[in-house]
Amino acid sequence: MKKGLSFFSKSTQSGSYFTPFEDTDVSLSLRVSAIDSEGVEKVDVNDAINSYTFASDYQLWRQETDMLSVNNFDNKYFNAIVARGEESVPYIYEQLKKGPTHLIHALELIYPDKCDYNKEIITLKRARKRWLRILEKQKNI
Amino acid sequence: MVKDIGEAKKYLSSDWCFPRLRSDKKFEVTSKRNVNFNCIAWAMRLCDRWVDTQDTAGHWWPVQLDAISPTQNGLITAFESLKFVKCDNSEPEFFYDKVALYYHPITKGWTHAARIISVTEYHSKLGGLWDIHHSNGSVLHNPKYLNVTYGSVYQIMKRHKMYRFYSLWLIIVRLFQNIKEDIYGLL
Repeated sequence: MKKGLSFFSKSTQSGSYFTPFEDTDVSLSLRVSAIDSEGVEKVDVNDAINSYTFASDYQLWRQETDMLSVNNFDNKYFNAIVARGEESVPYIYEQLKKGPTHLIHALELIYPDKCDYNKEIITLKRARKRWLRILEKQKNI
Repeated sequence: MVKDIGEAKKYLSSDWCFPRLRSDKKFEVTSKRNVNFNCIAWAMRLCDRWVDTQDTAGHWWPVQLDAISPTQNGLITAFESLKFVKCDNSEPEFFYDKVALYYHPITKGWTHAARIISVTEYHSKLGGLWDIHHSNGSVLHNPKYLNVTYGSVYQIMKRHKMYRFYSLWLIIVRLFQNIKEDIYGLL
C-alpha cells in the first residue's frame, strides 16, 4: 500500500454563474490521501467539502463586491470565510499564490498577531509576499 | 486578467452590474483587471493603493481625516487634501484635471469617483476590476440591485495639472516606506 501520497487533482468548476475572471476559476479539489493495494483512491471528504465551501463563498463574495470601491468587506460570504478560521487558510494560500487579493484581510483577521506590517504603508503586492512567507513557514499548508 | 474584452463587457453590462451600459455608445473596456487600486485612487492618480477607510493592507486614507464615516463630505475633504477644489461644471479646462464624485441614493454615502474626459464622457476604474470609458450621468446606476449601484454624481472637483506631481510624490514616498519596511522585515 502506498502511503502518504497526497496531491490536488483538477476537477469540475463549482457553481454555475458567469465569471469572466481567469483567476476565479476556483475548482473543487479532492485530496487523494492514499491509494490502497488495489489501486482504489481514498478521498478526504472533509477536504472536498471545505474546498467546495470556500470556492463558493469566494466567488459569491467577489461577484457581490468586486465592482465596489467601498465596504467590500461588509459581506456575509467574506465573513463566512473568516469565521471558518484556519480551515480557510490552505485555500486562501492557493489564491495568494495566483496574485494579489483582498483575501489578505481575511488572514489579518484570522491571525491578528502575525500581521507585523504597517497597514497604511504596505502595498497589496508586498503584503501578499509577506503572507506567502508566513504561511509557507507553517506546517499545515 | 480578463479572458477577453467581450466577456468583460458582457459581465459589466449584465443585470447584476450596470445594465444601462448596454445602450451606452461610449462604453468601452480600456484596461486589464487590476486589484491593486480602486476608483478613488484612479481619480486621484495614486495607482499604487486602494483609497478608502478600511484598515487593511494596501488600503489608505488621508491620515488627517475622520476614518470612520464614508460621508459625501468625507470624500470631498479627501480630494481637497490632494489639492482638488470644488467646481460647478464638467466642461474640460486645459490646465485642470476634473473628477466626478458619486453617492448612493439610499445610504447617501460616497460610492465612486470618475475622471472627466469631456462633458459627455467619463473614465472610471470599477472597484478591483477594469477601467472603462462611459457616458456621463447615471449609466452606473442599477435601480434593481442597489447594493452594487454607484448612484449619481453629487460633486465635480478639479485640480491644476501641476499637482499631478503631488500625487507622484506621494507614490514615491510610499515606495521608499515600503522598501524600509522590507528591510526591517528581513532583520
